[in-house]
Amino acid sequence: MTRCATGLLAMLLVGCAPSIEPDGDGTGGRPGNTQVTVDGVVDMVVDATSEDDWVPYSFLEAAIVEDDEHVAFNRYRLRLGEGVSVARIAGGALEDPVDLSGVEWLVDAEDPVDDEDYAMFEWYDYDESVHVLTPKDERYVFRLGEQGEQGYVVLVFDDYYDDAGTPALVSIRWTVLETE
Amino acid sequence: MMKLIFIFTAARAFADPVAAEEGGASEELVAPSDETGEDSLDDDAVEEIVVTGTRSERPLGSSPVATKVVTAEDIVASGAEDVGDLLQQVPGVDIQQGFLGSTVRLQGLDPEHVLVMVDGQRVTGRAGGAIDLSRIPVDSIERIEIVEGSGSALYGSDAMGGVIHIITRDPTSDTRVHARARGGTIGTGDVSGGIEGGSDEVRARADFGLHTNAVVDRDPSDEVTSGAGQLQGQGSARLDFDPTADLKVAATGSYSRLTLRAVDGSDSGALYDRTNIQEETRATLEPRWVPDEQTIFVAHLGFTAFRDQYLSDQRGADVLDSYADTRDQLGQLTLTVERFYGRHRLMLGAEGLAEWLTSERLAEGQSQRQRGGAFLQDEWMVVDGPAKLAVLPSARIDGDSSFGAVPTARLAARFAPVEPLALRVAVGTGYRAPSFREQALLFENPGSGYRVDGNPDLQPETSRQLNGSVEWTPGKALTMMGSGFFHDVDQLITVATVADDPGLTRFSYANVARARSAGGEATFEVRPWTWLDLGGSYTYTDARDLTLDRELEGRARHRGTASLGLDIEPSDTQLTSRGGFVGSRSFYSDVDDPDATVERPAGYALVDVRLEQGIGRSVGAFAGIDNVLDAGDAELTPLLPRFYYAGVRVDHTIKRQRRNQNLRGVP
Repeated sequence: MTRCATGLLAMLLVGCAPSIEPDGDGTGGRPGNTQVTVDGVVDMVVDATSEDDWVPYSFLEAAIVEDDEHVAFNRYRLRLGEGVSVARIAGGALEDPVDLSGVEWLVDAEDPVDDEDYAMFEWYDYDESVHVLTPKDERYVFRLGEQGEQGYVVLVFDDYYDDAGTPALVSIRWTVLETE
Repeated sequence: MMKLIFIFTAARAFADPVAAEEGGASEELVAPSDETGEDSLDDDAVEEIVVTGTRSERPLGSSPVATKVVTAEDIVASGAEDVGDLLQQVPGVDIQQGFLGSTVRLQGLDPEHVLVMVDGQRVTGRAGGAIDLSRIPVDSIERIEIVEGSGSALYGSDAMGGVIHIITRDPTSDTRVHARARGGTIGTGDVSGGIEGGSDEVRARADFGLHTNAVVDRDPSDEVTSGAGQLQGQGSARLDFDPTADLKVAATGSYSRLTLRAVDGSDSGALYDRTNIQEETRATLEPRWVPDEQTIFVAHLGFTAFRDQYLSDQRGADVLDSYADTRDQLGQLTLTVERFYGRHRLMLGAEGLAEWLTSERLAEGQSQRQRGGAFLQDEWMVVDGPAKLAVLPSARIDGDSSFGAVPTARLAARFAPVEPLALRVAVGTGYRAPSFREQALLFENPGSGYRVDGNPDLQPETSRQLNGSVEWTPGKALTMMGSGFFHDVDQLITVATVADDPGLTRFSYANVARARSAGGEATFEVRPWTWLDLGGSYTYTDARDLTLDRELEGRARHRGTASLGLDIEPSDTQLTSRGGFVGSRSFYSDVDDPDATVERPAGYALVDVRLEQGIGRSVGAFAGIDNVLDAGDAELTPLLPRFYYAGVRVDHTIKRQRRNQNLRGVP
């Protein structure tokens, strides 16, 4: 009798349908950071999905690093490392020649707070009506070192989303830019 | 046919049945009976009883508050399986189909401004502020009463736009067995049935229903579906017990489970397999005591538990998977005493509500609040001769643990200068308490790029409203009505953009908006011969967001209904057709941007046709087509596509001889 009453009370309070809470193994897992290099072009996906953490990356080591990063990623934001500056060049494919004469070298504001404080502000077009980011038709040349003493890198964004539509899994291709 | 009985439509609109039996035209107030014609052999002699407009029983025709009634016969004739489908073509009732299921607007006000009750018990489990009417099956419903205009002075929060009261069937002491089976396109299958019976003192019924339909996809070019596949099961029971001649106790219990499956998509290209399991358990106990001819005590004790499991499983990744287990529990205790003093019928009531919500989507994980209210109503028959005038002032004060006290009031009146004509007017105030979600939500949807934070400092929305109607019923063959309404809503809670970070827009809620809804309605029903019923209505609604200076989203300025019923008695054949027209509506690209782009899809018409053939006294076969014109689309009008069905029903009653046992005070 008691068991019956307890069962009825449980049904009244919480229902009796089975739980459909996912068990965590999912259908594809978190893609994470991936990187392949073909003919000198690094094709990578940066997992910048964390709201709080930045993902630091070194072009010299072609890897995620603990410190001395050249750039760092957080969601749609890209922060420049110390001594790094960037030039934004409209149009062109990654492999196309780059003329650096007359370009404007941009750096982040000191202690950046707002999105506008970053030199890489709005590397995307944002459609507010559907909340979708699309990379601009731009190339970005990173000057590593105050005078480029560590070299130059040219980079393009391919997508802000992965194939499953997950945001902040940023697809990037970059290669070392040979300069005279 | 889908026959709507308006308060003005009944030919017997002006005579209280009890008074009429006494041979006078007097509307002297007397205690009404619980037995609403069970023993009658002639349906036309039975006055329809309504309870929602005044919170106690009144003859439909002479109630001071206009009430629309959808009867059990209407439900059968409609072929509808759930309340959302049933109300779709009721004049003035604006049903929207969409992600949240079937939700309802009344007089241009949003679903959160419509109080939905079952047997006097508030329905809980609002999603996005709306009750999904498609999760309420029609299997055990006796009738649905719709009172438009603010009912807050009697019912408190949420009743600003009106009240939809679903009343389940009283069991009779006759033994009755009924069953119904239906199959159709879109993978539809339905089975329902029930049994009832008892003695003079104890009567009981039990009903069950199962319904399933497949996923609907109006746009096969992608994998996103436009309508969920569903499996719904429900069971309900009711026990009526009359321990003494002046005491009647009703106990009800029900359980329903609805499983929905669909595929959603986001503009980023993500696909999600969505599963919803919604369960609702409801129990009520309502003793009613009539100690003498002038006094009625009613107590209502009810408890509702709603659980919604929501799983959105991203295809190809886990990052955007989301699961929420929301449990909403509501306890309600209402006590009323009604007393007759000459030409006055006075009601005093008190109500206590306690609600608990547990959800991962709340900032604190759970929230609770209590609300208490007291209300007073007096129906005063000012003039009671060939011309009649009744006035009905009512007032209520609610105290809520989250924001304090809110008073509301209403003054309604009915004036019948001559028999075929009646005028009604109601002026009053209303309010809606902020929902748990609006107060305490913490929900992020990175796949769609937004996050919503609740606002614990929200205040209740308030409104002022005016309703009026003129009804003309020259005879049984014709009824006509014209009505108008006006609502002015303050402190309207609306979604506001807090921050617009790329890829993640942050929203919250604020009491910043004002809205106004005004309009009118004209209806007619004509029955030139006993075998033919015709009906039609037109509703004009001008609902504006005064803050953004634009039309409120999704409201059609022009709506209409039409119905046709043929009842060929010699062959026991009924043909019914009902139709509805919904004019163009406005949809905006942004919720709080006055410069948002607007999309105005063309209007559409819904037409249903149904044929039923009786086979003997207890068996009927039926077939029909819903949405004959195949109206709807995958985006803004996600209606069920054209749908063919056929089925059979059995309804057999064995009458029992019983002694007359009315409540004391009823002749």
